[in-house]
Amino acid sequence: MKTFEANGCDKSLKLDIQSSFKHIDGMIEKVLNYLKQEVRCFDSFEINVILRELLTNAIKHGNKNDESKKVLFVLRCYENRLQFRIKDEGQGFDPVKELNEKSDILTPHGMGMTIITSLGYHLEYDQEENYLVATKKVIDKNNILEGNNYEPE
Amino acid sequence: MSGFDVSRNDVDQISVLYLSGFLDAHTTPKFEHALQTLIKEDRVKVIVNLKDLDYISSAGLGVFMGFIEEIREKGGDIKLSNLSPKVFKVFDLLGFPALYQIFDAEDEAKTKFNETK
Repeated sequence: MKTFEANGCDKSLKLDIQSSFKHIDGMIEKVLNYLKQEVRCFDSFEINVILRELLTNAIKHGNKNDESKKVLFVLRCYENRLQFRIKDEGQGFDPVKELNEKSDILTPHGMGMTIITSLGYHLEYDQEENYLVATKKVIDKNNILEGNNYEPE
Repeated sequence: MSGFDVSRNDVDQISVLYLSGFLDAHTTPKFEHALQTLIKEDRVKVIVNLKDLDYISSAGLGVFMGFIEEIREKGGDIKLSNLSPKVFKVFDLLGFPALYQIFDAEDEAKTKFNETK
């Protein structure tokens, strides 16, 4: 699937953490430091929002808070899209059910995923490698503020 | 890098909780504890001042939802104040303004509580 190809990826960062909420801050700090060095313009609040939701989801629902398991994170900056890839050691999930569910204050399950998509990210599941993939169209690789909404090719 | 803290100030029947830092899955127990303590003390007119809150995740939003029913059943409410535009955006994405009163300033929330004494 074209969306998951690394070809055309100009900048990337790969990190992993033990599966515990206490490690989330440290990982986000590393990502923000990387972006400060590599990218001219980005929204640190939005990066925080997206990464905390993705990492929490992987730790809680994927790895069931099992600290002996790991969460793998990959950031990829393409010419005009930004992509976060998150892999846990869980059993995977049904993308049709989990990724298309819209939640709100009255139907709270899946609120994190709704926040992510509301901020312009397209969510996909790379079933072969068990990665949850969040992709957003950006202005260019040095300015990862929002471009037009990303649609997979 | 982040951290989270909650402090409290009681004025007459109203209790104000001041949240600072990052409210996410890791830090929600502290906020839950503060709300549980208020309910135990039967102080259910609650303003949550978010002036110094840097970030809130879906787990943090879930705490507001987890307590509102009980607090309203006891005749109280949770009102929010002083949200930064970015924090407000997260609340707004999930429709919170339809169920919670959100004020620019803490005093406006206090006035609203006092109107409904």
